Amino acid sequence: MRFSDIETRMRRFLRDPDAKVWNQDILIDTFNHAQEQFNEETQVLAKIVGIHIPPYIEYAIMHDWEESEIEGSILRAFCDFVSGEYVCTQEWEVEAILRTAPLIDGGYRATFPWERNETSETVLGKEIYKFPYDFSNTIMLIYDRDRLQPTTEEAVMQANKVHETHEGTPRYYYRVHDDQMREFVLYPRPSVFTSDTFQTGTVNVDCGYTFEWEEDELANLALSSQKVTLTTDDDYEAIFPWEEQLVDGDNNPPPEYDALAMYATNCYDAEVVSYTYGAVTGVNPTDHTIVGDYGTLADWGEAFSDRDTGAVVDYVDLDDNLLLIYKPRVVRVVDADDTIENWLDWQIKYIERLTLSLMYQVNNERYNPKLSELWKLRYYDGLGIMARYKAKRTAGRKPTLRGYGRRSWKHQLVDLPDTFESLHR
Amino acid sequence: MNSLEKRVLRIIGDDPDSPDVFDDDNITPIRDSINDAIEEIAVMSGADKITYRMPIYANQNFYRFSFPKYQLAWVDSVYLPEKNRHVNQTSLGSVERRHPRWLTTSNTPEEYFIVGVNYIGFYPIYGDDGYHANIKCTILPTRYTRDTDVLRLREDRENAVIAYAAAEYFLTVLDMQSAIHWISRYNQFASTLNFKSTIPEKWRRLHEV
Repeated sequence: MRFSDIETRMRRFLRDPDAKVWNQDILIDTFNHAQEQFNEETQVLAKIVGIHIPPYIEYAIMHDWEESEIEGSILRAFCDFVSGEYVCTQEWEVEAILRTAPLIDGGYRATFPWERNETSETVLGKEIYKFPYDFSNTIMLIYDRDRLQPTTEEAVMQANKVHETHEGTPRYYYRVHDDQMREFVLYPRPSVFTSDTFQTGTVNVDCGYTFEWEEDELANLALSSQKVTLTTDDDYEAIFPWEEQLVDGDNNPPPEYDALAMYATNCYDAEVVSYTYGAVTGVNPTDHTIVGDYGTLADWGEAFSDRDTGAVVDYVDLDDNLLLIYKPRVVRVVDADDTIENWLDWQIKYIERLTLSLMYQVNNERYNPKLSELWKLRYYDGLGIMARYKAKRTAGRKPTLRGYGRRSWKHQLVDLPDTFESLHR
Repeated sequence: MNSLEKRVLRIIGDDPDSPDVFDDDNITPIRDSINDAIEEIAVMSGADKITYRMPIYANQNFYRFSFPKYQLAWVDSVYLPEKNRHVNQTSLGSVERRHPRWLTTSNTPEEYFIVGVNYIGFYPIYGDDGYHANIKCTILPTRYTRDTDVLRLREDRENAVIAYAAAEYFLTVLDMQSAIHWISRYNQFASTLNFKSTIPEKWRRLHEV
């Protein structure tokens, strides 16, 4: 259901069909507020998704602002060089700016996780995976049918000094950066890597570039290059001195050079990555065959459908993949054309009721506490119906007496050998 | 315009034979309210059920419901026709506590659990393809959009639907007395389904109507 449909319904109750009293912005804000409150009060949402190994990532970004410009799965693969205006992809780049020759040895480092598969050498650095965009809390994370235990980066570092390159069957996962970034790392990192799912693209270029003028300069430097598609706003970052030569020397780009320059060894074209590499498994809509060996959830449009068996089914493939069971957050409405996600259609009317209650509390000429109170009571009735719905969902479970068995076990005497002397025997 | 819509129009003072406001092009508000009421009664009563025959794939524990026509309310029971046995309900946490490596086992499913609003999991799961499960679900009927669509509604619940739709109409015209009256009528019906609403009493107490 789209928000515009909901807006029409709510405006009917508000008697404001032409948005003369409440504009669309306040309606969207209030609806989002109501969604979040409804989610907190009902706690019914949970989702299951498959996360492919290596993760399916379309873009690597440098800055926060880039995320809002790009649609697709995004990885923050580059690090802020916090003390300056730079970003770097690898540690040695920092030294390359500070001194003529870097001290850190080279070695393979991957920007995208799947690049590890392209070399038999050890690839340094963390392999970062991302939780889904609507992730809130983990209920369970499973790798190859075994549950992973949560831990912290500090605990892993203390246990293993070379934890970043330690390979094996993952047993733990930990969040990196902060809660905002939704990124996590598996420890040990998985040794099973599905190389056969990759197609060989144009690889081993020296540089990625964003704008055409960069390509000429890279050619002058005898560097092979490939375009990286990033939809950017006007911004400029220079990493290497040769990039600064392109501008006026003060890190202020001339108008025609408002750009973002990026250096990455073995850079792959981001667009190539998004469509030919990685993870999406679906069902072929023409012949209904399952495509690929690994995958995420096939959505309804790609679900297996066969009239002979009368069945429609989606399932999650577990082998060598991650399975994430999580509590999603509410996906906020931004635009009237947005579709309301996560809620079933019949639940949305209760969110509407709370929205209407809040709208009548807005300080304008339609302020009406009585109507607000009535809609709030109707919302509470909706919560009552949701409570009944939740109870019905688990009505088939048999009640168990928890605690009794554990307590009796706790007081059992230790079963000592017969030869052991004891006053209690 | 179906019979329910005509009854609502009579209550709100419009002529169903030649409507002033809610003619066939503008009947959507009334239709929405009737659909909402049917959905709400379906959730309260749990009366609409279907049996969903779901194929089970080898070693695939989790499935997502994809109903093209209905909305899922909840799962009532799961039956394995090939094994001629019912599957008990449990919870994900319970399975996890009893058998931490439960996903590695394959056998005839003994238990099922619900995750979120539309996922179902089995423990354990068949090691071979070719089986299916009969899942009896409570569903919400499809929202009707045309006069000729069939309504899944018992006759003795029509009065409740009409009261709900009338109440919502009076809320849109800010006629609070009438709205409260019709909400009371709807709630009288809801009480027969063991659903207790206190809206009119609370509201009167708060505002001394």
